[in-house]
Amino acid sequence: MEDLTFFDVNCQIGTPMCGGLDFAADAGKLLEKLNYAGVEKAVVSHVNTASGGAVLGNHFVNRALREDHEQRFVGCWCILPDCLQEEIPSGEKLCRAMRDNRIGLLEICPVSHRWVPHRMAVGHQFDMLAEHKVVIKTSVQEIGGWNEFYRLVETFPRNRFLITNTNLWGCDRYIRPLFETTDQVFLELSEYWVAEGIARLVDLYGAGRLLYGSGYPYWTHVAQMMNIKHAQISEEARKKIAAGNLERLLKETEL
Amino acid sequence: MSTDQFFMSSRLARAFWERESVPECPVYDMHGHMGEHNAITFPLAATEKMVAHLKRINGKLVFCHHWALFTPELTNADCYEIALRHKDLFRIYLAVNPHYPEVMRHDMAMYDTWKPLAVGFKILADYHQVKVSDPRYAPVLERADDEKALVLFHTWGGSMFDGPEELRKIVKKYRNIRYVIGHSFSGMWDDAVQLVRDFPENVYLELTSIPGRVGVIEKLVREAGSERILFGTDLPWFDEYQAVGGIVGAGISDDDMHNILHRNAQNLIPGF
Repeated sequence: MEDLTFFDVNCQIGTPMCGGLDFAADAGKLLEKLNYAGVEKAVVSHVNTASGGAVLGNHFVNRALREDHEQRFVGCWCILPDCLQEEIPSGEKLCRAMRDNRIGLLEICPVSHRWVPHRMAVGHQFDMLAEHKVVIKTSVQEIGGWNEFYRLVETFPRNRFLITNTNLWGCDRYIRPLFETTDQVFLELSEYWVAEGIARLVDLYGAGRLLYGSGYPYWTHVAQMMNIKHAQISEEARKKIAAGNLERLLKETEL
Repeated sequence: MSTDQFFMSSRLARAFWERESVPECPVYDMHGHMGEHNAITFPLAATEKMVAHLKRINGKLVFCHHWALFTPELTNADCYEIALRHKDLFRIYLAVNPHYPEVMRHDMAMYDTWKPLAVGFKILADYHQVKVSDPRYAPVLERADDEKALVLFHTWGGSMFDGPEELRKIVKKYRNIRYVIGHSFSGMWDDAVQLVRDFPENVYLELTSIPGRVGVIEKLVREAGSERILFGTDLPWFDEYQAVGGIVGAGISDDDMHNILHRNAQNLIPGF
């Protein structure tokens, strides 16, 4: 697959609470999965972070990064409002800790973790992350639906947000108004299966806001890779979606 | 770094990666829709765009127009006209809406005229909220049984309308229908496998919304056999390439892939 490099922005390690037909319990197993599909690198979060909490989830992400001797993982920590003081670095210390621990993205799970992504809760924190151009990842389910995601984007217009797991039924009517309004929102594609939808979004908005994500261990790596491979878009756009956009965002993040 | 194992271990996977279509492996989509559906934005809904997409992947589609399922205002006759314009690409399931028995009677009377482009019926019990064992479906099921026709059922795990228990009732009763279990009782994979094992002659598991789910294709092939599995996408809901990626990226043999992507469908619809 030397013609196209893939960098997965939505990959989870660990043993799922409800089991599963297949999953990667440790770094070695996840690397096997990446090798099978031909995925070069992956942003890795923990599969039980939403259900089990940020602190322990981050601990397991750190362990996976230590076990990844090939350095093909970039970590994704989950954060909470600073005022909760729950063993997650706060303020500028967070950015330094991210840099020191190979953490490239942050995720939030406000629904499962019982907090409100309002300026009163995370105003200063998110302003600081905006200064550092840190991408904040959240799923449609974990933010509480599209209405809440719109509210988040409106409240924090300077922050970069990656929306993931958009549900298999097409999300064009949710995502297009965001793309029309701001260039700070990015779409992860694991559940964006709309027939020829990728090409249509690229026609309308360019390729810069779309990122390949597998959604592993719920979705396989290869299925959406094939969709991107044969989307009717330019080779330049294809490379951006497969890996280039994520590499650019990580490079622009100032830690 | 050792990468691309799926790509290197399967000739067919490699072929689909390198080319938009593979001449020796046409893609028979046994669960399609057709046309605009304005409750959602579909870039590919227009018939001519679907035709272009199918030609790109060397595909064929058996469809039932969503509007024909929702309301008799768009009829199975309209679907037949679409299929007639593209006989090489399309076959149709006649939409069955149990709330309009007079339309059902009319369409069954036309069935002989519409064959061979019409290959069977589609039942959407979850949406119509009428259990598949309800007597209102009996005229269609009896006709399908007489004809040994295909019947595509939308099914879903846990559904009281078209879950495993409901389907089992009619599979026991009508032994000649060729059952296409749409979505394979999504989530209730063991029940799907068991239905095939209990009725191996005429029950087929259909894959819409499944390719790409971790481990499911492998499980169904291992436990039900690839000879009992049909490819589908709900086109224009889901992209054929995403679903083909889910098949050729699964840890199954090329022979299994050929069965799923075209051989089983070709056996069910000779001459298509």
